Amino acid sequence: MKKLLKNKFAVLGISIIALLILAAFFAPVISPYGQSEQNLYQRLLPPSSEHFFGTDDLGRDVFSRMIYGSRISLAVGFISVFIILFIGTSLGIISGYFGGKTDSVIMRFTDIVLCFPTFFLILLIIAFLEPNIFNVMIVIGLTSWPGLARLIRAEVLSLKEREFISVAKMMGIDNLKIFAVHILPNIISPLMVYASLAIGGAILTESALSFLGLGVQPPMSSWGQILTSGKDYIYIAWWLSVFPGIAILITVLAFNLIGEAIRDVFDPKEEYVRK
Amino acid sequence: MLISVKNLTKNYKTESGKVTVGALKDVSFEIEKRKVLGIIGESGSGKSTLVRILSRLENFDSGSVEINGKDIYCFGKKEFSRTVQMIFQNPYASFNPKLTVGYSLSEALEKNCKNKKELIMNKLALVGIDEDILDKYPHQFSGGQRQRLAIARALLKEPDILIADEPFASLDAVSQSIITDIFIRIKKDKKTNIVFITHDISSAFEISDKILILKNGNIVKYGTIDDIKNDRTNDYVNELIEADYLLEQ
Repeated sequence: MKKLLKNKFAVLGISIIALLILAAFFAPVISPYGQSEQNLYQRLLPPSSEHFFGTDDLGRDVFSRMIYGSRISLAVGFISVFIILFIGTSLGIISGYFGGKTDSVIMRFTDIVLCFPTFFLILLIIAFLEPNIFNVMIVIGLTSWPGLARLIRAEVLSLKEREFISVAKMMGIDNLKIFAVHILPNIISPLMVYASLAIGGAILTESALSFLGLGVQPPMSSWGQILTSGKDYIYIAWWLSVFPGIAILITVLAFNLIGEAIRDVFDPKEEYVRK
Repeated sequence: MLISVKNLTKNYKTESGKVTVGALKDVSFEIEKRKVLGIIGESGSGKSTLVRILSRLENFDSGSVEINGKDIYCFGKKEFSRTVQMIFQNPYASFNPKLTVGYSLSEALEKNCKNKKELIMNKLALVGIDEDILDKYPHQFSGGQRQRLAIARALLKEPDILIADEPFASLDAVSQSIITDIFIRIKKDKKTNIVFITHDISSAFEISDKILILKNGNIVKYGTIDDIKNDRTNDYVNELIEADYLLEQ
């Protein structure tokens, strides 16, 4: 952790995420207007000192809606990616490490899940379940792990042939400890890259679902929902699409910075070279 | 008997299962305690497969392998780790690059072991490495140093048998002689028995008591150094000895 805080990119990334989380937490205090406060006399106003990010087609303050929306977007990003990481990494490691029949069974199952177009699968499940944000997070998590599982399996396949894994086996170390101490730190870089991209992906998937009316339910807002609703007015009200877009960009970037920094922390060689 | 191998056969199959390659064909030999066994053979002769079977890193098709009179698959995981330890050919890959050497070494000891540091220092002294290395990472060492660290780690388990798979192969001449010295020291200690692979018959003569020569998965010759030097009936053995003689000249 100390090493992580020495890395200035990591500090930048962590501060951005911390700021976003604080904003989400204190949304009612920070936002100048209510989430669904409408004022039809002030429709589609450009950014000004009164409405920092302008107003939407119902005269709602975009800045306030984005602050409230950060709650949803961050939660979707975090929770669904956590589920993806958990399932993808464990199945990938088990499959790659044990090989043989275990590998075949897990990989065929992965192929089956991969065959379904993820987005339509999500649509189908959400249509059956109640369309609320909680279901969206879980369904995104449960359907988006196959790519990661395959990536991790490939990494583990090459890793387990390395001699230090054989040494660990010969030392009589438990498989779980081999996974945690010898395998996980050595696959952390692809894992982190995947995770930081997946967070952005999850936020966008949620926005697409919200656009179809299956994600957050009005009058609640999320970044994706503001972004997609803004596309109808892109020629006359650019602020509706640009600000949520920038917010998503900054969030994904911040996670990327943290991911990159964690990778460096786990790579002693890199640090040695930099010294 | 320390190791007793009977009718050991191992085939490798291609992924489709159509072609099988016989790595070991009906191999039988025994070695008693306190004897160093050198295994010699060209690439593909089955020597690595043999030691990987001895260290349970590979299964075999038929036959039996016993250590101290007990089938190797009857050992528990922990028990086996105190019976057989192995050093690999490539010292660059035998340490986890993300962990400090100190951590890697202490993994060989039990979690609650009280005098961990003392035990580690003992073994490091045996392989001639200074003590202030515990916080360093593997990439900060040369190949020869890593190989010595790997030996120290294996010895921390106090194994009955130390298997070394071509321990000299990727090292320079100086490191080779240092490691040869370490093996001779281990041999004198009489705690650990050594089995080692080499393709260099002169280093085999230097350390071992008995030599096993493999070719294409068959035993060409098995016996003491004198047996091998004096018996000139086998062409392959002759070839090996003559090649070594030429090199020395």
